[in-house]
Amino acid sequence: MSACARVAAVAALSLLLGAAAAPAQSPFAQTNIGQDLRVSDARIEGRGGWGVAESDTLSPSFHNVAGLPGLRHVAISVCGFAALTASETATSSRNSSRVATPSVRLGLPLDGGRAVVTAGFRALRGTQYTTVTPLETLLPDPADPLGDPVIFHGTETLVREGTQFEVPLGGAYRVNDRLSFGATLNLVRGVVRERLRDDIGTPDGTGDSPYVAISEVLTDDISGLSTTWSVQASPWRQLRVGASVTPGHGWDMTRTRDMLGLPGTRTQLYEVRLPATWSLGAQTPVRGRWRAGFEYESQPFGGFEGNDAWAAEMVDAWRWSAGVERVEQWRRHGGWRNLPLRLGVMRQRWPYRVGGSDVLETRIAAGTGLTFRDQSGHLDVALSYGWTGERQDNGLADRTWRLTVSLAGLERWW
Amino acid sequence: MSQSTPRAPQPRLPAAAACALLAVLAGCTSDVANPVGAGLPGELQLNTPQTLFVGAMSVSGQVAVKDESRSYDHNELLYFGVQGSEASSILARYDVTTLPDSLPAGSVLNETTVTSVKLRLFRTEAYAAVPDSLLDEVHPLLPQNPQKVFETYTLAAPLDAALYPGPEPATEAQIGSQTGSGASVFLDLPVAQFLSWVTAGMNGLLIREGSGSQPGLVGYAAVDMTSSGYQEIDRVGAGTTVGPVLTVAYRDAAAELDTAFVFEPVADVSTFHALAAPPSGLAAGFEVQTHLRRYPYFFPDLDGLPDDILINRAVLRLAIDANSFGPVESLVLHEVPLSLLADRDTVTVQEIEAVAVTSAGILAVDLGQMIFDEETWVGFDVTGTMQRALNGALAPDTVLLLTAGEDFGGYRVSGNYTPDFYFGRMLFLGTAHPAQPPHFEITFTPFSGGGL
Repeated sequence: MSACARVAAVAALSLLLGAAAAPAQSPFAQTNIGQDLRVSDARIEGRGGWGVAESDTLSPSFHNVAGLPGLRHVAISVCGFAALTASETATSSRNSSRVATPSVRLGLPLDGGRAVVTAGFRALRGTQYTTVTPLETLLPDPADPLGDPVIFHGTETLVREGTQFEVPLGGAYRVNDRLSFGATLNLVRGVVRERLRDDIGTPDGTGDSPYVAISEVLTDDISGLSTTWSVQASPWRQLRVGASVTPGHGWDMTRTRDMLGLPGTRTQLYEVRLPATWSLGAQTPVRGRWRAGFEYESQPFGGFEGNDAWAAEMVDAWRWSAGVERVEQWRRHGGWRNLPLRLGVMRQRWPYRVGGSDVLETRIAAGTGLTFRDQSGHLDVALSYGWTGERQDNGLADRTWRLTVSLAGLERWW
Repeated sequence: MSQSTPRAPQPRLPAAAACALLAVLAGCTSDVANPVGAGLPGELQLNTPQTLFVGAMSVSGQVAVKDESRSYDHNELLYFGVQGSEASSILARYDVTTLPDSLPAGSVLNETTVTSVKLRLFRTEAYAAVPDSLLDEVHPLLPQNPQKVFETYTLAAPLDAALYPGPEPATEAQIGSQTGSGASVFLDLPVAQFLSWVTAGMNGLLIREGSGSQPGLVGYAAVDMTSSGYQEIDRVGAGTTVGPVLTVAYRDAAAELDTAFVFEPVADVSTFHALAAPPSGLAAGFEVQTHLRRYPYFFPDLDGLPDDILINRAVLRLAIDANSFGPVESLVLHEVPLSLLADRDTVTVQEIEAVAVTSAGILAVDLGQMIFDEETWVGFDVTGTMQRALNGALAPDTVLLLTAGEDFGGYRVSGNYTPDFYFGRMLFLGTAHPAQPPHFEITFTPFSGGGL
């Protein structure tokens, strides 16, 4: 293994360990199907998120596996992000942080790079947030148990957590210099868990506390299978277009409910139907080292079925992104000007409403990166700032800084 | 971009940059969770706790409890006096026929050389008079140093301690009557009577409360008091004979012998010839009686509780009956099988210990102080027992036996005494009481997923 591949491996492990300590994300993620956590790599993040038309053999992009043909080395890509979110409501605010579960992707060239098989792991959606709210309830007065009940004070803690992830297994094939196809079979697993606990103290706040405690856990274990079909083409000069579609599919859900102190678990099986997701994008050189691109993705969650509580708030989600990139160069004494520079903007509608209104998110991003010695890989970083929701519409609003890091290592394996 | 593009070598920046970024990522922390985000639709909604008062019992009764390792006449205290419906006298028998063997040859034993015969009683500290300011540190429900008239009789037949508690035995002549109080009482006995016991032996003595006494049962040390009970006796060190000893003063000038002989009783026992009947049932009240131990047992009727509930808190609440008296004792609820208690008048402490599981307890319940403070209720947190009963994890014939702080169960008051030491009656109002009946206060929350 080359030095850069070792760095990539160590970084991947570190990111995984860091993800285990992730404490919280946006409060918007505390409900419904959760927040979109898909991230391909920092190059794409730095450009605002477009990359379905991307094909790069030095820093391979798995955003669209149809772009992988041409790869000459085994490629290992690790990408994760950390986010700092400032959330506020009309009466309070909270700063929270999170390290997302990183994605790991592998590309293995065959037939001189004409074909590529790929496997990996990536998070799809996640929900990780905790709220603590004051609570009051009426209970008998220990000093006068048969008299009028008195107010007991306490707190209610809601923890919602879980990640939906997929393991894509697939391949891509280059038909000719202008056309390639890709397909993956995605094993979907995950969990959404709500823990709700009421802790009620004694009336005067002293004594054995909690005086009364109630805790329940609701867990949805997810198991599903989906496919993604993709294509890339260069129809005219250096214009490159790409598209991918994940047809509608089902998830088998196993719902378990537990109440602390009660024996046994209540189990319920059901299925949810997810709508098809498709994306379309293009990129083209514009001037010198600069190129521009865009992407549009549609997730019509208005057609979601199977969980009435989720479906009641769901809407058709969409995301568009656009940006420019100054590609890297290797001129001697070029200094910082050799580095790539990426700028982009993204706007999306979340797949569910909060507070009766759509959740709209806008993010601006910038990024750069560098190539490892001997072209054995690539390190990229992206920094973005986003606005999510409006206090007057959604009841709360987020401001989020996100730092995305990706490492791509190339290994000559034969 | 292509792999084949030539490029200049880069420094070791990648590893350094990766490490720096990871350090930044690892340093992120979050504020403590607060209401931000609350109110978003969730699928999990907890039900509100409800409280049900369960007064009906599915089973109840009471049982006398004895220690099979110690017979009644080997109790450490002798009870004397009258308190309410309880009355007890002291019985003691001595063997003084050995006295001549203790005298030097040629000594004379007559009414001249035996100058006095005294029977001494040591009172336990629990019955001492104390300043009002210290009342809460001792036992306010015990009589405080009452003035007593001690009438002494000889028994018509030899003392049989195995007959007690029971009626007073037949007596012969009264041989003494005197008034006394305090930490120790000395009763003068006729010397001539004593000399007759030396020559012919004795049946025993009965010490009975005479008219003019202040009310109250008072505990005096028995010959069986062990060293563990010595600190209940005022200013008496370990090794002192604290039982009701006879002290015989002897002076023979001719023999130049001036000494005293002390005789311990060969048997002593409290008669408890009058005992209050226990409450006739739970409707009349609960009673925890110590010394002559008698404990109630019961179990609530839980049929009114719905299925699939979490018992957040189950508390047995008992209202104190002001007729209670006795020292500070712990109160303990044990889970025991009904089969041990049903249809039995008496069980042993050992039988209970072998099967009992502690459900709840209160250490050192000072009923006197509680009555003084106008407190009404004592409560036992039996949440675990009730939840296990609903979960089916409790044996179906389990009942709750309410005891004082026995050696087992974890609630013994101190190393000084066990519940067979002091006599006391801790009384609680019964289910027929119109305002303060005993009840199980069960606060529960229905499982929100119970319908699945």
